[in-house]
Amino acid sequence: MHKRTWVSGLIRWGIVLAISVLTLTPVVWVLSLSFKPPQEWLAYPPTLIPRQPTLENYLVLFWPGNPVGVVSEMVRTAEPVTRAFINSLIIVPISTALSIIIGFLAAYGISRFRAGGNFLPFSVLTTRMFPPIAFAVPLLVYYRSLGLIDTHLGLILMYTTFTLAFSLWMIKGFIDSVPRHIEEAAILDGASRWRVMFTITLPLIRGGLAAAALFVFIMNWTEFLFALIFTSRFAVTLPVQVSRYAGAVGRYYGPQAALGIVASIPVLVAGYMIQRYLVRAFTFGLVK
Amino acid sequence: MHLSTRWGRWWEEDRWMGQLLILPMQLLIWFVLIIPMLIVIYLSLVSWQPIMGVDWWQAPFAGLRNYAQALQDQRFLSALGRTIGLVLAAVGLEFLLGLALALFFHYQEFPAKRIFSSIILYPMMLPWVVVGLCFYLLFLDKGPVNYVLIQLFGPGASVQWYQNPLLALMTIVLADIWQWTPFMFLVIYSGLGALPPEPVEAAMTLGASRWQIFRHIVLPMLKPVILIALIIRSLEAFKIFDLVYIMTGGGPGTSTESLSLYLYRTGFVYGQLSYAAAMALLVLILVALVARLMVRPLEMELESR
Amino acid sequence: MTAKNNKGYSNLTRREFLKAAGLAAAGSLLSTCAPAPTPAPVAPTPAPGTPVPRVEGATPEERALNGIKALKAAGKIKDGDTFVILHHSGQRNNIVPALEEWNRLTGLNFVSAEEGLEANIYTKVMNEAVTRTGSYDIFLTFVNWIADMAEAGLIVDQTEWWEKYDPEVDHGPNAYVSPIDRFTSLYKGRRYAMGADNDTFSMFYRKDLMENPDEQKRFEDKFGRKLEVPKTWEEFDQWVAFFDRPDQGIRGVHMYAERYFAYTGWAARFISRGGAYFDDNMDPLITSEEGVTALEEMVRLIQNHAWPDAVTGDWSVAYTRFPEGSVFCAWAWPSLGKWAQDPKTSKIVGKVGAMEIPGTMHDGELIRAVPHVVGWSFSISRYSKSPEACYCFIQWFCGPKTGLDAIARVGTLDIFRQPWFNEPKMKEAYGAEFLPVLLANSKNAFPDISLRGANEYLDKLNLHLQQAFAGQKKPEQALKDAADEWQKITDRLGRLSQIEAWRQERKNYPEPIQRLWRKKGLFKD
Repeated sequence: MHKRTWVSGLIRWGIVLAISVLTLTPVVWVLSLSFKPPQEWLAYPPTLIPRQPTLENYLVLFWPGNPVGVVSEMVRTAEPVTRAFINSLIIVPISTALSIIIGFLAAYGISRFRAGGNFLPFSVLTTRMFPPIAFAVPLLVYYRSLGLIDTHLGLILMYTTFTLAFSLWMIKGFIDSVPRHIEEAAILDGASRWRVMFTITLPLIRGGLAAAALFVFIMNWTEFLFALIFTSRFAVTLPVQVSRYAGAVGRYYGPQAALGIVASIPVLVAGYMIQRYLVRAFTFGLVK
Repeated sequence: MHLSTRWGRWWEEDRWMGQLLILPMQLLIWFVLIIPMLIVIYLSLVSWQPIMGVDWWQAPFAGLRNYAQALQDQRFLSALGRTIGLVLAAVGLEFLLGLALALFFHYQEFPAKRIFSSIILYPMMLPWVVVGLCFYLLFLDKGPVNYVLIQLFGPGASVQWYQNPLLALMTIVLADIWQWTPFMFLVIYSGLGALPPEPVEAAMTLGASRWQIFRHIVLPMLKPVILIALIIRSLEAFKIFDLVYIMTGGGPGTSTESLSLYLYRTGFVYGQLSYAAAMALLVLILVALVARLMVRPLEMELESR
Repeated sequence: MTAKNNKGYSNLTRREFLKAAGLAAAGSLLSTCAPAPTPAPVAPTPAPGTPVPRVEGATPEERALNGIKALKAAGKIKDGDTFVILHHSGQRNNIVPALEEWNRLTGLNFVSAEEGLEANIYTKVMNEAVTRTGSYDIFLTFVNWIADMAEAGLIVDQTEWWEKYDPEVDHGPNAYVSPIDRFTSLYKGRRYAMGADNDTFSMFYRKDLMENPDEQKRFEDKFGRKLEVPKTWEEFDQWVAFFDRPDQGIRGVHMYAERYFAYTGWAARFISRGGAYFDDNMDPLITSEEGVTALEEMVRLIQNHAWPDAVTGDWSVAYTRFPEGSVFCAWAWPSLGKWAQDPKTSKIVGKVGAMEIPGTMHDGELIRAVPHVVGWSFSISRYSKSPEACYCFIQWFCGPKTGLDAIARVGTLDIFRQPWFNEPKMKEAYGAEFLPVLLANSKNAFPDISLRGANEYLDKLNLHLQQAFAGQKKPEQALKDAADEWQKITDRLGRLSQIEAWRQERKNYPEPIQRLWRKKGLFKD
């Protein structure tokens, strides 16, 4: 008995480690790139550990004027990424929250009341079927007339709307899997429908909400095309800022890698925090 | 129904409450999307480029000419077929991998689960610019992948990944799988976590085997979640642009050009906004038809509950 | 669609109402999308008969500053007014310090808005042409986008300001290298831009191998002539083949055969043989014997004597392969010379030679044709708050003294005024040996296709050329397919307008090439 669990434990660990390694290898490559000086960015044979590791790629992101070394020579007159960081930190959480809230309300309405008819969920899904590229210029013209180009509000509205289909469909899926009789029971006991929605259904689908929120957050955080087209100076977000690390001879892989790592940290933190909702806690009993 | 009077709690009447709940969504979609959509449809019916020197609302009418041209455009049709292939390959593999990972995490016990699942989720969190660059660099002729191959198999093992269209497509699919398997994992894992435990417990007390429980109880309950994940991911994969742009630029020639990349070239490099609009609308119709087919089993599933 | 809800009430009326309200709102919002009608688009205006009064000042920079003073006095601009320049990140270092100085001198607030990918600049420029937000005042773009920008009504004709302020571009001791001054600024005979760069392709080779006596002897034995820098393309092909040593890890050449610049190697041969892109009816001439032979030669060269990433890599491959010593000879923008001589990035410092691009012999006369690839020039937005103030800035920036400082800083902009080729600062930056070669190449430079729709013409040409290089198509077929696509583009954009533009564009080519065309009967004037 002990032997079996010992072996299966080892296998389990082996699998976990193997998965982690596979997942992390490109990440490690990016990480290593972020510590390499320019002459090693494309060097051959490629090395995992930089021969002359440097913190410059990270420094130039926030203090481009710093007088240390080769990379800062290249990006000396760039602007620091703090503004892009702040913009992303404003725009993305707000639009994610709005998307999830509106999505939750609508998902409940559709799931429990068939509101909007049978075709509403599908027609919302069609907003994701249209290639965004063909949509960009018409949307640009429209935004121009509204004065929303290069504004935070403009991007927030856009991101919220475009991710509504995700929120709706993902949350609806989770609501659908909550049996109705639980809610019916609470109603028979005298609770109002709104109360039921918020105090019974909502907690039951915490995991789904968290997953949807994380996904929407990631989609917004890494969105590039519309951020590029709709911002120029004031509302520039992180992905657009990454693309600006280019120069006289091609892209600056070092700072781009560094910014990529730095930009992924808030998301990593968010992802870690929602983990607790993903693992179902069975403390909430189902009222019989 | 029971306790509401004519004047009180009117907002709980099914009819009203449902409408109220979907109202914010309707408003937002109408406000933001409808007008540009109308403009797109208009553009597809005229013949307009900014460099023609006329304003877009003065452009000459072209009827269905753009659509006819698109349907005969070899480059459009190949891009379409190629993109469908990419989606099938990428999403299929992502699903299988994500399912396996989610089951593993759900049913196996090991410490620091949160940390490991964060690790698995990480690829999704990098900005796509960086992911594309990373994989582009990895598969360069003198990049790490070839280096490892040479170390393992000798100097002849170096592969020119980007010169052969099939290999180039494979690298793109690989990058996509790496980046988006976490999504499948995320959705299925949270789906597993949200399942009520009673049916499983009941079946276990009845002596059902693990496999039977999985196949006849867990899997059917997961079906809506799986279908949603597949639909969402497929829709997104269909629009794949960034990875192709950074890694191959659609080359050599147009042999790895995805649909979105061709639309981008047509609209933003050649400036043919009308033609791009028509092609995009064709894509919309096609995808909507296919998606309708995919969504139907989901709806029937819900009806049967 | 009348869905019945749980209680059996029809939702029709509510949905109908919502839809009607929505459509009404949509309709009213839609009408706001159409801004006021704009004036008619670009049509070349005949030069005015009356001379324009010249502005005071001994140098272009001084005149520009006086211009600003006059504009301020006239109340057209005031201190602190913000002007935005859209440019590529690569010019950040050239432009931003200059902006600081300009702002100090004028009291205005010129700021920089940069983009990291060149294609994104085009996107933003075209979007601005459609939306007319006025968020950019000055554009620094590829030289061959000027036609698109002018025809879209986005940029203003600067010709009168050139007369008023005299930037000393095409005359005087400070003049630009000719013909670069012409094709970086003229479209349909009018000045729509001011050049700020020199992107004449330059070719570099391994001097140490050339000076090696063993190599010299072997070469002489093989070919019966001395080992020296080749003058014709034929000699070049032999020379490259001689130094192609795959077993030693060094290939003969790196010339672009990839998605965006495959045309450069082919065009250099094609034009030097006396070819031209179009005839005076805008029918493509690329399928001629000169074109096909040129492509066949290039395909053979790349397939036999270059690394495969000449076809699959991107433009920066030249900047890694040559400085690391894995190719004998490479060509690219002038900056490749800098890169190859910089000890931080290069393993072959001190071993780099620069050469004039080879040409073709025509009855004893050697005609060289050097591609000038992309290149940046300044243009002014019609929707700027003061286009004239913008013009003053670009004249000041490109001036003989300010421009020298700007170009000497590390960035994508390269040397374009003739006296600068003798400046010690430039000799230090580029290498004293390289400058005369660059000057000679610049005098033989010919432009990319700069017509309206240039991106499309070039992209479709490259598409087919790259397929020929990759072995997917025969050269003749590739050129024929490209020519067919070109005809479609021309017809769609308006043949008459394109004919007019092309007639003007071919006059921007170097004189020897125009003479060759006349000799061959291609064009009469």
